[in-house]
Amino acid sequence: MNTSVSYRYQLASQIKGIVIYYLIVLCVSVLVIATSTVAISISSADDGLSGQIVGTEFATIIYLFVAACNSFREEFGMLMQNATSRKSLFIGRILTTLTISSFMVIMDKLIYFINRAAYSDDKYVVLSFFDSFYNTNSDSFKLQITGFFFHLSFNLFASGLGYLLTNIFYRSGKGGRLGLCVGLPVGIVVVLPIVDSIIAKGKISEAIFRGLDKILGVSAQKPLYGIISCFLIFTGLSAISWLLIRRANVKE
Amino acid sequence: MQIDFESNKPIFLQIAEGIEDAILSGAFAEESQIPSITEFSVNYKINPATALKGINILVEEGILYKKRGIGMFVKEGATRQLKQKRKEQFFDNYILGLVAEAKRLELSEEDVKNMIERGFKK
Amino acid sequence: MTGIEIKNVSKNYGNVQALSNINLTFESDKIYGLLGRNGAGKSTLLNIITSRIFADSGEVLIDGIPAKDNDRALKKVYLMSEKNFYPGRMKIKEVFKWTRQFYPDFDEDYAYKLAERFELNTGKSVKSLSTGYNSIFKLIIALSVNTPYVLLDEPVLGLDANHRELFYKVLLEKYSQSPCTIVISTHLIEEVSNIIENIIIIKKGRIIKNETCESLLASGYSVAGTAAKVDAYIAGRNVLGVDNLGGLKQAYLLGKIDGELPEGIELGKLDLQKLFIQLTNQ
Repeated sequence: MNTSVSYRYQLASQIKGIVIYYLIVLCVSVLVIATSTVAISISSADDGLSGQIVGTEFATIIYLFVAACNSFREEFGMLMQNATSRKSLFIGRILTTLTISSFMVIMDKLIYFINRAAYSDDKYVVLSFFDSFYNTNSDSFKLQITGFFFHLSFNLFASGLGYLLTNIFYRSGKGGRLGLCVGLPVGIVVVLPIVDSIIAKGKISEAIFRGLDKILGVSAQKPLYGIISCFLIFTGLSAISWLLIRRANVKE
Repeated sequence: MQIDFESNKPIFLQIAEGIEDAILSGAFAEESQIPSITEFSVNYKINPATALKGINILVEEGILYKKRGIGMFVKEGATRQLKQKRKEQFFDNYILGLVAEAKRLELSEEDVKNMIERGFKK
Repeated sequence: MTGIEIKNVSKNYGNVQALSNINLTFESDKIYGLLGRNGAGKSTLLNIITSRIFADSGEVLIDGIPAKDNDRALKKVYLMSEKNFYPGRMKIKEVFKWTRQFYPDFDEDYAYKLAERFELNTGKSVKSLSTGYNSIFKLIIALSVNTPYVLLDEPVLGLDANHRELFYKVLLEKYSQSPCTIVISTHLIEEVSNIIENIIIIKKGRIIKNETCESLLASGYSVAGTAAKVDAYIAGRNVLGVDNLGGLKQAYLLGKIDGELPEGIELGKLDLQKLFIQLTNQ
């Protein structure tokens, strides 16, 4: 069965990007640690110098989204050329997504701990993305575990969203593509706020934020909601992606 | 051995005749191996089935035989057999055409006989 | 091995009927020529067989297994086409490595030997290859992949004369030593006419001929001579077409020769390319 090769190939396609990403993260982290160490040593004790180091988890989420947007066309062509069914391609993709999402959560946790060690004095507070979301400090082991799963499911969500978008793009004609690349961003960033403030008097964004709050369990301080919601959304997005892939024709 | 792709004569037949010519001229000695189907096929850029067809004609006539796992060999006595066959065909293949052409050119029987004599003296 | 069976396959693109009710079988261990003019539907058919695009109706079976999006069936086929789906930045030796993963019977050693014969630098990336070498590396894979069915869509596009000659040589070597089913889809009929055993002619999405090369060529003959004599002869006969050269004429006819040819008329064989042109004209 070509599922195994489909998985290995798609995974191999992702590795280079991830390595470069973490090299950059490493360099940036080292740079930030170095400058802040210098800043701390220069300043005096009651200089009021302080800051927050927010973890790389958010950057990872963005990275996974962007990487997913780039993970269909070439892989589809290569796998079709090599006698692999769309089903195997999709299963391989899901396995790849799970693998790299998990790997990056672990890497980010490592970086988090390195940061915690580097900023061991009280001047700087190290927070993870999860922490900033739910206003916690990842003090207990339970919170660490919860944070871990939260990051994982958010990673999956980001990856699933990017993959769906690129699939919609692939299956669309010229009009659809234009709509997706221009219409969607313009709609969200420009049109929606205008409509919202003038016509709905802020009701739309209110509704959106309240909705997000509910499913992610932010005010309710229930990260479990967030984990489950993200995971369910990921499943839904993947299902739609599959519906698009299964009838996809190979193009030039 | 040449193959004329423009000719009316089917390629497999040309192969068979080409092998016959080679046997008669001594190029393929009796009890020696002839080139393989692959060699024929690759050399003349023809489908192996075509080469096989030509060779099989000669196998059926008893000119060639197959040694399992090795290849095709010229049977002992093939030369004699082929000469006999060609002798029988000589009249149809050469004489009829020669006479027809001679008539077209308005050569007499005497003219033709003289030319034949001249040919043998060479 | 029951071959590749194509049953009632149709495909249209908007108003254009690319394929109409195609019924065809590619049997084991034969070399087929799939001939047709540009746009006749050859590539569409090959793409449907390999599940790259979907037929609107009908089905394809590979050794009895429905081929549509099925790993087991698709692994028996390799399609080499003009379009390149290998990642541009991938080096040829990497491509070989991955091909081995997807097609376990892929003979990597043989592929490298062929690369040498074709003077292909396997350290180059796919996108850095010229048009000719783009075809060549895919041909090398097709010749080394050892699947029971190998489909070649315009294999010699962009190849210079030397490489074309080498390709046909290697193809026949491979076929002689380890037979498989090879389908050569092309409009370069003259080059392949001696290699193929069976011919399928596609015209505007329909199959108009599906028989052995031998029987197709035996289905007619040509006559040549002065225009007057030829005209007299061909009157009332099934004429495919004529070539004129001043006062000389060559006519292509279907059917068997009945009786002797009149004086001044020369018999010729039916040339496959001429037959094809006559059959697919207009």
